[in-house]
Amino acid sequence: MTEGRGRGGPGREGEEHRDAGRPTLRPSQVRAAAGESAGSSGTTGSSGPTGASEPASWRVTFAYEGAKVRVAAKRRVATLAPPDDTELVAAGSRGSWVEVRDASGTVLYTQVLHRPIRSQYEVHNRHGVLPRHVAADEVKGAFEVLVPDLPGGVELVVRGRADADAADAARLAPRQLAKVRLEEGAS
Amino acid sequence: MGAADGAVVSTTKIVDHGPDASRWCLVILSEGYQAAELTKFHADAEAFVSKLFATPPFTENWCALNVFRVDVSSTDSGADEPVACADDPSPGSGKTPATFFDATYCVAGTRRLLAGDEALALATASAAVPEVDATVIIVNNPIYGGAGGSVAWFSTHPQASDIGVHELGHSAFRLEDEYGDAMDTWTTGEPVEPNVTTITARATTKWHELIAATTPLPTLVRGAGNCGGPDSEQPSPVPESTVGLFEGGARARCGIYRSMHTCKMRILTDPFCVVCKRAITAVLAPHLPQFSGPYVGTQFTGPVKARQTVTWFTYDWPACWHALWTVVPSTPVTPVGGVRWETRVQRTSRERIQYWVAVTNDTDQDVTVDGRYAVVASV
Repeated sequence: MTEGRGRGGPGREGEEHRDAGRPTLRPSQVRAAAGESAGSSGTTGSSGPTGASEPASWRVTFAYEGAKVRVAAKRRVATLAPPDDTELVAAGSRGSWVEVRDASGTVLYTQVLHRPIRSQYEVHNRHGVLPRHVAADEVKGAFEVLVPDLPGGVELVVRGRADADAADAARLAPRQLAKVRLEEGAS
Repeated sequence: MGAADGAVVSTTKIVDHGPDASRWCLVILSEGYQAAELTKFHADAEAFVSKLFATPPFTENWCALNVFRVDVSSTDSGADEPVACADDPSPGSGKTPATFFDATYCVAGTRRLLAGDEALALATASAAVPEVDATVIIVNNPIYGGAGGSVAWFSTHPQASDIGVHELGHSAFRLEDEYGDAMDTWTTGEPVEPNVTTITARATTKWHELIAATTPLPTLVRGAGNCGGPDSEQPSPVPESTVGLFEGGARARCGIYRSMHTCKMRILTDPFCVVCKRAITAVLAPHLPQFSGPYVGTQFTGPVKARQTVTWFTYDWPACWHALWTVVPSTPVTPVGGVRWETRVQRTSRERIQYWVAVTNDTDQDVTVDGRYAVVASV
């Protein structure tokens, strides 16, 4: 009977060592067999409406100043979007999130955002002391969301608060901050 | 000052676990590095990657990540250091270097707050890597500082990269802070972030399945009338590894709970708590390589003389592969058990494994053996 057992450590003194080279199996073979060719969509249930070779997500960039939130850029990207957070949003009522909706307004996908409108900065220190927050000089910045390009998904809605300081924004009931059509050229 | 004060030089994939469309893509941008200093940025970026790799749950989900280094040169070196800053009686140097992202200390009158043009950082990252999932910016200045938002900024001070990991927790994994500072008591509804809750009922609280039946709930409370002071570290009434409900989180000192006594979302240098690890893993896991194996083959074949041991070594195996080894004599051997082997494994780098397969021939005849591998999973 042959036996095998694993143990740590490299080769030992006094043994004859022979070079068996690099793996005869190449990573590209594994990837190809797994259907992970470069440039493929690699989606988990979020392939584009016209097939797997289509971009699988939308990247939407928002710019905000004060309570005004506007779309700064929007484009389709062949990449995976974060997983759906419907469970978290169903169980909660405070905070910020985005929704992908179909033409009838049904929510198809939800993603939690952590305070996308920054009205406070977190001040860290390196001495094991708790951080603290200070008010930003101006409420101005940008944030991006990456959502799946779902069949039937036509609209992206951002919910949260931009009209209160960060502490209150987290506690107040969210409102619609922005709404975007998920199609090329539309705003 | 701004984008005119430098240039995007190049983009380099420094951690490659496969197609960008399928992996979770982190972009590391440089700020305040002159062209001649970009080699230093390469080392600084590598140090951050090593730190992230050493931080669970990134360690166990490492094969889900691709990391890109985007070399952005600046006209000058460093970041703005205003002379006067509201929270610091010591004057800054007054330096105002011309840098691409225009990063400055003393944001919001706070010396340690270091940030720059967030919109430009987002645009630069997505132009370089369209699949980007998260962006951090290393600022070439040794003074401790950093800040969060949609991207994470941190300086080259050795401890500032902790800011980068914490801020990734917010921007990429939608985690809340696990301390209170801005509010006394959380009085409204349940927050949507995965790592804080207002629900104290054992059956329905957000991470109820992780709480032992014997753990008291709430597990640690500040107590009525004690919500106005600083959220200092109270001793834990239970072992540190206990999952329960510990009061203080989402910037409120009372009325809201975190899952463990401490966490990286509370103290920068602590590990992520169990619930944060779970939330991060939920985002990363779909990006782990798909696998359709197992893949089998013969890596080596050779003779082993009677009563001798020969060790074959094979190197550059992707650390993401789970490989099993079997040694099979290619001719009949007696007695049974006359050929045995042991596999030793050495991680030669973050990404590579070397195997040492020691084959011992306990018989009185020379044998020839095949060293066969089976890659049974990719993690």
